[in-house]
Amino acid sequence: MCNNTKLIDSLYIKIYNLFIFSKKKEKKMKKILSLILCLAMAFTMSTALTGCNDDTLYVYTNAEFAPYEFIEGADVVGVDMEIAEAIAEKLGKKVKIVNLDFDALTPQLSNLKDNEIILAGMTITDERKEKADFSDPYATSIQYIIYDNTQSVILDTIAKLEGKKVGVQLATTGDYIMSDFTVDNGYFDLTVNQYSSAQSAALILLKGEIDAVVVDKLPAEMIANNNEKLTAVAASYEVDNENIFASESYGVAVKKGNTELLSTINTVIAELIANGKIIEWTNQYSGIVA
Amino acid sequence: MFKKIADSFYTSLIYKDNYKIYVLGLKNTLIISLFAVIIGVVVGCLVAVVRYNSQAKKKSNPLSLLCDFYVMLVRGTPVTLQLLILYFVIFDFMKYQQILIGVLAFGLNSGAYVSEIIRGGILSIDKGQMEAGRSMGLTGKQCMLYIIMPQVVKNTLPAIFNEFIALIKETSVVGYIGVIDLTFAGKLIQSGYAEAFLPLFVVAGVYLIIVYLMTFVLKKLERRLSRSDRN
Repeated sequence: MCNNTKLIDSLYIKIYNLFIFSKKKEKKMKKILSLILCLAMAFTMSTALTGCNDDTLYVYTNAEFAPYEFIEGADVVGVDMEIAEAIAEKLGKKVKIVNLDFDALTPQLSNLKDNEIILAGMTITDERKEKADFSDPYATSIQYIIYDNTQSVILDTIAKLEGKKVGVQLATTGDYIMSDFTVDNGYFDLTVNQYSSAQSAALILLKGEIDAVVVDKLPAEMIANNNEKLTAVAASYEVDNENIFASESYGVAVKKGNTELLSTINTVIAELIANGKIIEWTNQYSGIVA
Repeated sequence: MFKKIADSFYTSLIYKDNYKIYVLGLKNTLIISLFAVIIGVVVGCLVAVVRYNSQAKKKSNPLSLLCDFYVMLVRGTPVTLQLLILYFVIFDFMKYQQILIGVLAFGLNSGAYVSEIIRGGILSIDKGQMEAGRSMGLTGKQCMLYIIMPQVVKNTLPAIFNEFIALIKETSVVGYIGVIDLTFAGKLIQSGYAEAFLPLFVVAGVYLIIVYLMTFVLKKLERRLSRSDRN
């Protein structure tokens, strides 16, 4: 795992030899080239040394999902980050956060290494379970509809959204459910616009280009709290007497088959639920932004 | 109205030390741009000379074919895709050094464009210059280095700086691989604190200042280089 630095070093030496011991020796060329290579090497070393460490737990997240993860100063904070710290403490490792777009996390699921986890308020679904192993749920959520309460038509249920434009966050549960809404699938037709974060979808909603937004409960409530024009309500839609917006659970994703890490994470989550820490953090971080 | 702007200024910059993320973003943007420009110029010059030589001799060798392929590949695909391919596929073994991957991606991208600018610059120099140098007894390499290249640098300076400016702004897509640059910093504040406009304007202002400084440097350089001009 930590061979990166050595690998890069040997690469540089090879390139260096290629230029220096070639048949035509030009002193100036040599000087310039070695200077450039030295510069490049110093640069790689500095980044490589800070980046590569065996006792580091890499946490993939998308810091646009308050209160679970968001930016404060130059740091990523939130409920998930507290959980990550707790897990790392148990493992005796340090946390390093890798902040990607949420839709970039989905391909990352099948690409996880042993020292990497995904903690991004990610709902446990069957599709995702095929690519990675999920921990026990640490929080539950349901999908909410956010609508503009100044409009004449109040779009507070899913059934009213027929033929409307609905905004979702790309690759989230809301996206998966709403994208299934077509006549062919036994529902009705509507247009789904995908955005990279719930917040940007809400901004588009305020501009009036879409009619409603379907996202997870806590972000929806925070968006509605921050804006008097927007209201959020729980979504529900019944097909054959079964609510397709049943409650969903957030879990930690680890590499498929890494049962050792998974059981450690499950122990930590069980502890945090038992001593009420998760609820405490959720209240704490919801308060900060709202 | 003013109260609203002041409030939004407060949340997007001062509240919870939020300005720190812009500083971090600026640092990353500058690091990536600076090293990418260095790689771009070095790669660009080498590729330009190789391609010019094979063109002048009307004969292609494996190296020039490789360079042709490289320029075609880089100019034929969007920089965002190149970045993602480098990050997810080629440099998967060192994926925590995202800044380094960003530097390589933008450096190689810029190299292709710079090479074309410089090749055009070499072609624009009158044939007589090379011939005069050769008849004075200089070798082909010396002619290139001491007669052609100085003129090329002077002629292509505006185009090269244009490329640098474009490069600085292109680095705004580096957020795709998780590097917090200026644009991504603005986006994070925007979505974290429900501030629609101000973070965008702050970021735009910073880019504007950087580009303005670059233009200033270009003007100074051009003035210095035109000192020997006849009119």
